[in-house]
Amino acid sequence: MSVISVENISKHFLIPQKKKGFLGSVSSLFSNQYETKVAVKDISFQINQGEMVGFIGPNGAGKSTTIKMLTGILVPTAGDVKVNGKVPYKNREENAANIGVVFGQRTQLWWDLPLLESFELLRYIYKIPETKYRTNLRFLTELLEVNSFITTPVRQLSLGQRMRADLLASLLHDPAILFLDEPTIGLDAIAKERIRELLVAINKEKNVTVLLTTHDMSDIEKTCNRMIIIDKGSKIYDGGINEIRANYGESRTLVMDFGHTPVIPQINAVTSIECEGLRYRIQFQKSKISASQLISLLSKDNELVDLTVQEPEIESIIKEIYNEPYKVSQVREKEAVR
Amino acid sequence: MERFSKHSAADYVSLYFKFVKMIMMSRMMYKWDTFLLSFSVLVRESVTVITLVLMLNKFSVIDGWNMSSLLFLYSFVFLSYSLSILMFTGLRDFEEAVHQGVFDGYLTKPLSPLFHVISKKSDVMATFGHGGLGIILFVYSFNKIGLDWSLKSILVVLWMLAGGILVQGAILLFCAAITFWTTKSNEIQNILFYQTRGFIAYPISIYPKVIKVILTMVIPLAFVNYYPASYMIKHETVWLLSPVVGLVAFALSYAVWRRGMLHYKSTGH
Ligand SMILES: Nc1ncnc2c1ncn2[C@@H]1O[C@H](COP(=O)(O)OP(=O)(O)O)[C@@H](O)[C@H]1O
Ligand SMILES: [Mg+2]
Repeated sequence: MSVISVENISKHFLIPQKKKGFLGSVSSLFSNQYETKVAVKDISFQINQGEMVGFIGPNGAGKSTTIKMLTGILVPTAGDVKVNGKVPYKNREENAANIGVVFGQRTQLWWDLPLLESFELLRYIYKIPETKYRTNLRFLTELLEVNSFITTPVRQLSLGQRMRADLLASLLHDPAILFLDEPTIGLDAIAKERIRELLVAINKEKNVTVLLTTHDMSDIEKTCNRMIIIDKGSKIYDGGINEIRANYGESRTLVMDFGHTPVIPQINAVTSIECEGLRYRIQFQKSKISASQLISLLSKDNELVDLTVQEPEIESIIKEIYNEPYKVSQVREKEAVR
Repeated sequence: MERFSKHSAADYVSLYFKFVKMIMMSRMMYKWDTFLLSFSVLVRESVTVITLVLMLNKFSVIDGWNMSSLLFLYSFVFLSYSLSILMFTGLRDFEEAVHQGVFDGYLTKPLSPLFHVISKKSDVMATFGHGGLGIILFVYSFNKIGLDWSLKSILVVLWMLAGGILVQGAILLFCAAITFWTTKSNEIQNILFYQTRGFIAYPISIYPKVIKVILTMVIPLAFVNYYPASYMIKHETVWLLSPVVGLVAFALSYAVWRRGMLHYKSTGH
């Protein structure tokens, strides 16, 4: 059963031509000089109960705008959105009662008060019955390991702790769907990993449908089995993560350890070379040259110690889909001089 | 899935006091800060009053208002602003709430967004600062004029203050609603509210007709102090209607707010 149904939605922002000062702002109220910014262009998808879907795309792609239309913050310019069978902006409060929303860059917690106070208030905002509140709070504080700082003022929490607390706050009322906009932004590697594990656990334990946005591919690789790629407001991919490797993964990386500084000939199929001491990471296009051909070319004049061939990073596949040409790194230029 | 039934009026009242409790607890974390800031607001505002007193000769009369009735007039400005800002800080700071995305968060909660905006913030320092000065001026001028501390006059004062709070809330709400169209409203608020407030330090009878009309009909700040004080000192009974004007103004601003909500475009970050 699909809990989120999005059909051909678009969002245009009319940006009034700015004028300075009081009279300027008054006149811009009445003027009709606008610039239209298309933030989301004709996007459609369905998400089923219990799915965990990652929305990925570069900055400004339209991820947040899409989430805002799904959560009832923004009214779509065109198209239909249904969440739990309801139109979010028309049934805003009812929709809000059935979803949890976390924006990575900001918190919904009371900055100066012990964490628990924010949870207590949410109990009344969502009208959570006492027993359900107690059970959920106990379960979630344990799962998210929030107990050790539940009486600490929010401003004293680390970013990772705060994110776990915000997650907890968004789950107290047993939402059917959890929306997360950039939940790992600004976190260090360990905290990121922790949040990813927790999202998977929440999805499993509570059968919550999760829709998250990120521009960090590892978030999606570690949590979702489906991803939707958007760029410049349009959906450019919707499907599994493994399929994408097969369909788009044009490049491979050959990692070679040499015994001494190698001499590397110009090879067209090679798109980039990076080195770290005597370890060389050579990226090549598999349709133009096979790994074994490349290895024999490179080991001819050089002493080879060890090698591995790596599958493409999803990151680079996405770049491929975005149609961004590979950047030949700085390292290669230095190599060429030497 | 359970159906969510919207909060009742009683729910909102009890929620309002829960928010108030949270705000007070937050402030208690900074007791000294709160005290010092309140005190400095009081000093800052006193400067304008002292300037007025020094400018005028002790025995001078402006348009029939002597020094003590002028101070009485002024005390309403401070008292009613004190209470307005206690209740409507969220409206004053609405532009910021939109820019920081805080308002987006309110929209994802099963609550009236306007209720959330209003109950989430309270500038208690301004409340104490303006309120403290207001009380001093009020008690002093009340005695000086020789008004009678009866239950009736206290009730009349409270009634008039309610009108002043509603009028100021209405103007702040109107300016906040403008944010939905322009995404910026601080300048408009500064002019329509804070600059215009400067006029009511004096009896509005001294101004040209246009300004009197504006202060009565358009930006009805005259109902904050001039009409209430006229009633109390000069017994012009009709001005007892002040809270009604406040209610009408608030209702009109609320209509603008409702229209504006349809134009809300969040922020681009
Ligand atoms: N409220 C707004 N007003 C004007 N432009 C906006 C607004 N919100 C987003 N945009 C623009 O729409 C595009 C998509 O933004 P957004 O959805 O925030 O992207 P993402 O979250 O993928 O980084 C950007 O170009 C952004 O500048
Ligand atoms: Mg974003």
